[in-house]
Amino acid sequence: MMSHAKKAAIFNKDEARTDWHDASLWMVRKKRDFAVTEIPEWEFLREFASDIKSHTLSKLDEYLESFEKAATQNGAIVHWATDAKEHNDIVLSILNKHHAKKMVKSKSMLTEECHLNDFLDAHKIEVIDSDLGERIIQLLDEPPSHIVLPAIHLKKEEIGELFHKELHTEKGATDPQYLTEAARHHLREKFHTAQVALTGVNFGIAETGEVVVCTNEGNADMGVHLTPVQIHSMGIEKLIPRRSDLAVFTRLLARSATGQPITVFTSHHRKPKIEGEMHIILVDNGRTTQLGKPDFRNSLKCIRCGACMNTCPIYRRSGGHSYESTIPGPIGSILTPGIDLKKYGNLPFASTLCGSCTDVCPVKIDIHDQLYKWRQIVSEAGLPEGGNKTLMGMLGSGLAAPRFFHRLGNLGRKILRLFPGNEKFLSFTIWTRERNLPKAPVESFRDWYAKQAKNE
Amino acid sequence: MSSKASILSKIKANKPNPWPLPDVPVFQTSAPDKKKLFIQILERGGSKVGYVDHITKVVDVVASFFPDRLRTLSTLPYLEDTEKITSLEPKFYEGTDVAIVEGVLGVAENGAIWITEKEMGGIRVLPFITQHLVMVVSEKSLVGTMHEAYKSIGSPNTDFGVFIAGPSKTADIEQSLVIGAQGARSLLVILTP
Amino acid sequence: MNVGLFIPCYMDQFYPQAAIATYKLLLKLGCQVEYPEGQTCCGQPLANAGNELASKASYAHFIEMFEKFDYIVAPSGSCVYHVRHHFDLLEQTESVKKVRAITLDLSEFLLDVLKIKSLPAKFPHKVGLHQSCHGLRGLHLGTSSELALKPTSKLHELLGMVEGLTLVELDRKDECCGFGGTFSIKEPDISVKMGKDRIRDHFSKGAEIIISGDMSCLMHLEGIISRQKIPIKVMHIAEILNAEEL
Repeated sequence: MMSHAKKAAIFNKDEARTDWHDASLWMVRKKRDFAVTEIPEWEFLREFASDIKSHTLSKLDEYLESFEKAATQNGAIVHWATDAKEHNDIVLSILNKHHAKKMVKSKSMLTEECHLNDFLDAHKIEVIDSDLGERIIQLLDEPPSHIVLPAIHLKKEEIGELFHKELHTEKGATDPQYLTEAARHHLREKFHTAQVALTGVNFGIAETGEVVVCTNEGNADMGVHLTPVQIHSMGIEKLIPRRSDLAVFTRLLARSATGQPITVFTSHHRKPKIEGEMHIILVDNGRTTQLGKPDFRNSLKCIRCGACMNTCPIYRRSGGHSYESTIPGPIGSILTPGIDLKKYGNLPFASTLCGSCTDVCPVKIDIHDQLYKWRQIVSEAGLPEGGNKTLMGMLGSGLAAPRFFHRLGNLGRKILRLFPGNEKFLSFTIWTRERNLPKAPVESFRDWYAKQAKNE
Repeated sequence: MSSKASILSKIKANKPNPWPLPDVPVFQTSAPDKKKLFIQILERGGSKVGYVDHITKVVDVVASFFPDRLRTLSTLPYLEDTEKITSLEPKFYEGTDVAIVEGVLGVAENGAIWITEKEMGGIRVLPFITQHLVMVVSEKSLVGTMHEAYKSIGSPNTDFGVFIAGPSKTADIEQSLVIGAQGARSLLVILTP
Repeated sequence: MNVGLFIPCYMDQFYPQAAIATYKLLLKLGCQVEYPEGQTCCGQPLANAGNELASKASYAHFIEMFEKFDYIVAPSGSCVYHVRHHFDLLEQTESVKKVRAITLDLSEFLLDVLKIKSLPAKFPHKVGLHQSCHGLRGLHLGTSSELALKPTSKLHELLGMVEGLTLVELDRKDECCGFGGTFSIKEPDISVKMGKDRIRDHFSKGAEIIISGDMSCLMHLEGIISRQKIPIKVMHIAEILNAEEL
């Protein structure tokens, strides 16, 4: 696996494309900025959302049991999965029970996390992602590069080319309206022929046992209501206590995600349809472990709006794929090290700790502080991203020893002064590859201050 | 140990200290005119808005908006000359040009309209599968915010309920907004007094 | 009022003029200022690189150097943020708590402690203000653009006291410059790209000078500016606030 820095460097080779990617996402951030000004109590809502989630996490076991009870009373079948494998096995067993060979799926980061598509592929089940962006990347055999805008990294020419090959659209056609229309026809056929539909879940309501799914395209509903069997895969952290809490979260979610006042469809699935079956799979897959880490458990509050990606200056200039994790960007960089420190230990360093993610987050996750804390853990674990511990220890002692420190500083400045016009000097160092070093002055502030004191 | 027991026991061991559940106030909109805001937000989201002084005139408005419609279906008993729900098979409704349903409640701050299985005539897919959706909403039902909406709706067992805030749309190709993704291509909201 | 002047290590060596401006400005405003010569570094470079433990000794040294003062003032939001936000590693003795509470960025000291309403400063130039992230989002020297709150900015307030100064309006008023300490070396490609984008924003709006409350952001931007020979300068805000001659 390549580090984020290496992947980012490759992404940046095409500067025009980097600018295009950055501008696309910045536009979304600006829409979000406008949308939040329409709600005078925005900052209070963030606080409420954060508190509701803190409360839910503090009683998660009780709420999960209430949820299961209510959902069962509603006629749904509730399953529990400790990990991705168990989740996938449950999905497969439901499919097998109904002799289903074709399943439509609406966007679900959880099933991405579980690599459900690959698993079902191997079992000869056809899975059709029905969100347009998801379908595009599925046809390209790529993972999503963003949790809300899965194909944000692709140009319409590339999508036009893909659709020409896969959906037989006209060669060279790139008009989004035309391409979307082609996908509409293609997917309508799939909705009618699939036997099972699976969706992710935005919110599970402990009080009512219902699951709430938010989409703009209506694809989740097309699938769920046209097929006899519906499956909802839900991370256990998606729970909220009361139906009225949805007011807080629906107001925050879409405005943060895309700047819309609400998603076009906010569907409340409570009972199976007549003669239908409704399954809810509650998935842990590392969440209970994260819950046990006081510094990092707040990451479980995430409602997957993607605002931290849109605002992150690094994400915008490196693309989601550079993170090589299911959830990219700032939130991904604090979720994934807990899953595999060695593999994802470099991600907490893919940040300037500017804090924009923390300020934009609708549930007030202290993302940049968690990035800082993960760095300490990475370094303690002796991983290369954390630097050489012995060397760092020596430097640390140096920083606390004034004489050594000042001599070293003076020496550095004097060396630099030997090379006036230092454009290419030390161009082998990382700093100076594209940046000059500061012009070293004759005397330091300390020297100047000492002279002042003498003259007084 | 079952997966359920193992997940629950891990949560018990790992969960944080108690944290109070906040009492969230029912925030209201500061907009002076809820109806005006509702219409403005709907139109911003790509919906069309029509008006009637009496519900029986809904069909006339629909006719003016969709002169070329072939198959018009309605779950409103008072609308004559429209197809009614005759089959419980959802796929039967593919090919519906216009579906007319009643919205329970409209939310001014985001243009969302609450509708449940009942208003869909038991056909959950209806508002999605139809090419064009018409929702009849009483001005009296308008509330300012989602807090008021959920307060008004409460938690009755609605089987299936959905807030619909516009036509199906996507911006998945280069962030270009396209109206008419997988669901209805347009939403016409008809306000009744 | 006995003020301890804390000058970040790289400013001491490379940007003495900004440190001198800070010192002179404080004297001008009637403070008794002392620069403890034994001071070293707040430890941030190591800590941000994940080696907090290694910087613990420098934290303790910082406390020792500065505990005798009424206020500790630094021309750097970033270093002040580190002392205030990240010195948790030390045992929180009375002196540690005291030092953390009285360590202030120059702008905080001027506006919240001295409560100045005007300055004898003149600077007839068109400038762009770069908000350092640690100052803005860390110390809340202003409202970041993400927050739905009334916009405030200590640096804008201070620059408003400078005669003749014109501030340009930026497209992205508080995007990070890409320095990020260790980030500038670990992710040089994005770091430089971010810097280039910030410079372009300022330059295209006609700014002659990019000013900031943090010299580290400016060191990074200046490195790119001088390599690419862009006709724009960088200056620390203290130099502007202390500027009197035309």
